Amino acid sequence: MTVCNMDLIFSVDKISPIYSVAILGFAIFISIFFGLSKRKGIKIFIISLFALSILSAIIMNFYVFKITVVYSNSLFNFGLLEMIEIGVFLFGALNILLFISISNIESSHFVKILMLFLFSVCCIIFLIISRNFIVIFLSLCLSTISVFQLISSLNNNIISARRYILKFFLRSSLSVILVFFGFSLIYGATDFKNFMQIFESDAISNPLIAAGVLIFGIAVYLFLFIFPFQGPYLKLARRCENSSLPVIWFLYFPIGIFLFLKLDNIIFYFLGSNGSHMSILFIILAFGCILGGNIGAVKTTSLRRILSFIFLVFIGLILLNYAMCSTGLIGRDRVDWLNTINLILLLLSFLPIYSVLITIEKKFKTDSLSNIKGFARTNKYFGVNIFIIILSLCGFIGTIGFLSRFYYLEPFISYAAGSKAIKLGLANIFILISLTVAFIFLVVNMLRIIILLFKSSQGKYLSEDKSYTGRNESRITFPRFYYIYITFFTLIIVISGIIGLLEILNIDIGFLNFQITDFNLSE
Amino acid sequence: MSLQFTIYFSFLLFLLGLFGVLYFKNYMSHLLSLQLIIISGGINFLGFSKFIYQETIWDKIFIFMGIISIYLLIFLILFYGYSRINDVYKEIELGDYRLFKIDKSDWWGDDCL
Amino acid sequence: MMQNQLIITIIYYISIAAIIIFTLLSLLLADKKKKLLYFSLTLLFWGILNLVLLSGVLFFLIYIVIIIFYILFYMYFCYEEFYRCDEISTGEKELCNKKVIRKKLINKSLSLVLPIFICGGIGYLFYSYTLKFFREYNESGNIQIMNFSIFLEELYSNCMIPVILLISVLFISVLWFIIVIGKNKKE
Repeated sequence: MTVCNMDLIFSVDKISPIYSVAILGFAIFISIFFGLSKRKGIKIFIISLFALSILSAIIMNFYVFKITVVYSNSLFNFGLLEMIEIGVFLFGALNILLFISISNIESSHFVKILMLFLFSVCCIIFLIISRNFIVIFLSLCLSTISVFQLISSLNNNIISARRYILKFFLRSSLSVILVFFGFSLIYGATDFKNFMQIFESDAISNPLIAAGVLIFGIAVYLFLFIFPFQGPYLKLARRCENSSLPVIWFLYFPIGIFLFLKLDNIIFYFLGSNGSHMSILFIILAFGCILGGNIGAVKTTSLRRILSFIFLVFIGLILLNYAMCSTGLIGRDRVDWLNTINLILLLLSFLPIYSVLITIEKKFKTDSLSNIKGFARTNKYFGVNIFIIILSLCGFIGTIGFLSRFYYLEPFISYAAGSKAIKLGLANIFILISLTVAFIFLVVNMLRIIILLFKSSQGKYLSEDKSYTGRNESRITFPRFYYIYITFFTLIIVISGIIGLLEILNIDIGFLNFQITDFNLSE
Repeated sequence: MSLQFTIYFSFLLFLLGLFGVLYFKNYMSHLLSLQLIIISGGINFLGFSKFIYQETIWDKIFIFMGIISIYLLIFLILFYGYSRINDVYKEIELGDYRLFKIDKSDWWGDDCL
Repeated sequence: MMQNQLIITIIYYISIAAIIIFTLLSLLLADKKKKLLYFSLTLLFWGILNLVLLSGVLFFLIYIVIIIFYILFYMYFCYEEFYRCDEISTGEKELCNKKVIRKKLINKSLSLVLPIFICGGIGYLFYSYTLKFFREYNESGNIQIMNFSIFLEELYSNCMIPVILLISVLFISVLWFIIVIGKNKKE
């Protein structure tokens, strides 16, 4: 049964999720006419245009969901989960636009770089809404191509990063090729063209499906640079240009995560049917990632590497969610919720912290941990905000970080309170150990940063004639916009944390139509 | 000539490619190993469509789009690597390859070396 | 009919044998030019195998892309070899230290043995789990060989958006080429 795709764009009776991509595409089209311009006014116009287009795409995304609720055809699928993924992703993209603009506005290729960026955003949105295998694979490949083009363009003048960009993306191309091979095996089992049809049919018990999904899993594992394959990612993170790291975190890694989430139904089927084997596999992989990431972060004195390692810890937590579901600790809805909240937590924490750290790095020319010594004493406003954000990462009560910690530990708390809903078998004990290791190490890493932030830095900053200059000389000047930027994130972290806490305590707020802590993302 | 033999052969190619990716440090061997995995995927698609399915168009489109996009990715990575490693591009850049170029020495006087 | 079937079977087995031989040669040889040469022969026989497996017009469509890629790859490689000013050091200086040599030997044998074990293990698992499937599958009756018009019709009716995406990435890549090749002057 064939569907003419031209109806997808031109039909007036059914609004399509492609419209948000169309807005972004229109912005790229307008910018083509200014692609060779080097005038600052044009650059600011393009930044404004792209920012407006991303905001419009976010609004269109919500509007499409409100009108259609669920949109599905042979190529695309759009529901609540896709709407949230696109919304969160576009919010991250808006921030990345800011980082790229601040770091590269002087570049003669600035407009072209922004066009590459917006195109990569379009490709990733296609990946999120894709349903058919051809569209999934094509959007995966083209997203990887466009992110590669963006990162190589941003690091065009950094010689030390080139070799690692090659290694990084050779790894990604291996993952893409493995996905191609995986699809060829799945094709052998059935000629269904999307995962939902396979899940609902008898073909799911075919060994070729299992082999194909396993190859898929390996491809995603390599794509996300999970331990022990993290080398190229960490090397590149240390050497790349300032705005490249948020691109890697919030443009590249989401490609792998969204691809992994496409296999949700099938993974849950295999977790249910192969019980212990799959659980053990997920627990081992998650534990390895969490432990490796935390130890790596503790052992390094480079701020970029610390953040890069902690990012991998959160990837490990995504794997742990599936392990917890397989042992019956949490339900499937909670897995989707925890995945989403972890991504939101990363977004809300890493972006403001990184924006401050790159300003510090610009002043001191290195990303050493000692550069932030006494930062909170000299820049009090930023110090307090960073402190709150770091507390959120630690899971402090009243912040958004606490919500994810609470729901990870809730099954064990209820078991301790006498509930017999779960059985504390060996697998669950191991999961508890993994969570304990993850959270304790995370707190240790964050405490390390907090202590340095508030430590006295007298005698550290000397003038050229080696005389003590006093504390005010070491104060870093931030543009006014940064004050608004960091305050915005701190407020979101605190307000959503408080709302979530009230929901956990069953106190009805009254003015929200939805609950932050409990909504069904699965269709 | 059977499906089993074809698929096991393509899986052997996949394993050779996987071995190459795991063992060889050389970038060219790494790339050739990647190509082997692509080849094995292509054989899988065509083998399954010949022996099992009557409708054989979907897999051809998948192979077509897949191979074009994968080769584009690999080509871009290679191009990025080669464009900066050596000074070749500078030498190419200095040469003038226009079809029609006005040069006085072609029309008047001596040719300066 | 029987003779045609026999010819196809012979071509099938020849191309399979050639693929294996040239693959092994291209992986094991050290000389880069020979690697590329033997791998291009592998691709040639892969194309012949595709024809045997009734790929139809797909053979031409993808083979052109792959040939162009290989010609460019070979050209880049030849330029690198010919114009490179400094010698690429291909090997480390041999040290007479027995411990270092022994350590190198252990590392090399480990790096050889581990992939063999991994690939062997994966191959055995695949063989054992899929044996039942291959004994029970049903072979199809009619075979439809794809021609260009059917291919285009399918692309237009079902895959227009992916095609548009593919074409747009080619246009965007032009921007990237300009950035990578051009000089980046800061104002």
